[in-house]
Amino acid sequence: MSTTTRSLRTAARAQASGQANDVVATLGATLRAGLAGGPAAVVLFFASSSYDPDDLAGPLASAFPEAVVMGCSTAGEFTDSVWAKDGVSAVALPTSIVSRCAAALVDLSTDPVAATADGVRVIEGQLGVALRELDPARHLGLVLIDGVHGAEEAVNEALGNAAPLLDVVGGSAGDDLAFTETWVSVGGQVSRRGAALVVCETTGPFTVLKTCTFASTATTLRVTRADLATRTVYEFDGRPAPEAYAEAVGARPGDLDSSIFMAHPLGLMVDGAPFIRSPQAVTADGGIRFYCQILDGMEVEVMQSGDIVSETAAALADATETLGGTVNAGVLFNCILRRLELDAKGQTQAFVDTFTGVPLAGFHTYGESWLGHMNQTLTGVLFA
Amino acid sequence: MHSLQDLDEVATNLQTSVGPAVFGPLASRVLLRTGVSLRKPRPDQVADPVAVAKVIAALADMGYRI
Repeated sequence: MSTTTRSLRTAARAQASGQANDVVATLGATLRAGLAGGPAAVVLFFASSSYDPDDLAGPLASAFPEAVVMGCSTAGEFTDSVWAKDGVSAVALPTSIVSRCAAALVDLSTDPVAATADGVRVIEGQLGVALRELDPARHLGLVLIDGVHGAEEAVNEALGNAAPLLDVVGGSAGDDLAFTETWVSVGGQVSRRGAALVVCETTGPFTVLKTCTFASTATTLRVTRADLATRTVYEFDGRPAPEAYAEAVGARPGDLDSSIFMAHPLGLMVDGAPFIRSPQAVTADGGIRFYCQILDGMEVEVMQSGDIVSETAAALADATETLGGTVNAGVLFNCILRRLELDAKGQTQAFVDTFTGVPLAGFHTYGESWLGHMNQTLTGVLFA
Repeated sequence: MHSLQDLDEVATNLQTSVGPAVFGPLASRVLLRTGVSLRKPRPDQVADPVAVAKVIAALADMGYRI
């Protein structure tokens, strides 16, 4: 199944599944048709971990030699019309939307901060300008980060050091809930412990989308002992973390499970909006492991969930209004925990339907990025 | 050189230096990195030398020396 659009200033998007060579052929043909003869500047593809990335990255890069082609493995993919778990979604941003760009593949296996800084320098070399000198109203970055080695905070911090006013939006690669290995790619190069970064100059307005369904319960917890390396909190307010958290959500410590964690993550309130930190599990040594870091001394609020579909529709409406009423392209990063909730509630198609008429592609992530690393959130960028 | 004693002083200094449009994004990044708010400092953090030092270091990492 695939979809196309025809307009000089509209992204092309597609989804395909099946054998890798057939997927490449279908995506290439569908995206080319959607581009209506125009060149692509950036092609992003999001693939089920069932594919060998070498069967996709190189062939797709060859299919779009004029563009930066970047991809990653996922925990499911979608477009504005298709929701799938076993295929590949892709979006091609034409040169009428992105006038120039530069990309780098970063190896995160040793020192993620230094490696990301090196990647930034590669991009700066290609663009001929320091990222911090770019006009943030006309430039943005997209980043795909390894999803199983916990380097997202370091990558986001390094990007913020390089260009604190530049929006860099992205997601953590997935592996269909195996949590063993993910991959990212730039061109034909693939990394199984890396980050793919592209910085784009845009021809028109764009806006960052960041939305989650959670509202604060006004109950706060202060971290008094944590281990950043393992993203584990051992104490809230001087008490064992499971005990304090359970009391805050009205449960018994022994009853804490994924359903409670999903319904009641914690939020760091930033200018009135929560940056969600999702609990993952109670650890054998008496802590709660999260999907992203919570710092010692940080005060977080206990969240309660709402409806993902209506919240997404409202956020999209706001973003559309911000862009003057028309959205011509989008790239979205949706948390795997939101996907699981949508699956459980039978709302997958309703979620996709909120994007009807907006040519976009995205994937279900192991974490979302913008300013920092977060969970249970939909991030992305929409272009007028 | 005068050393900044509290978060209000840091915030005022930063706002004066970069303006309100830049202050907002920087304050958000600082909060995410340190757990310290420059917009609404917590009472226990406002004059805490450790919190102040964390904020100044985070700003320096991003290229803003105050």
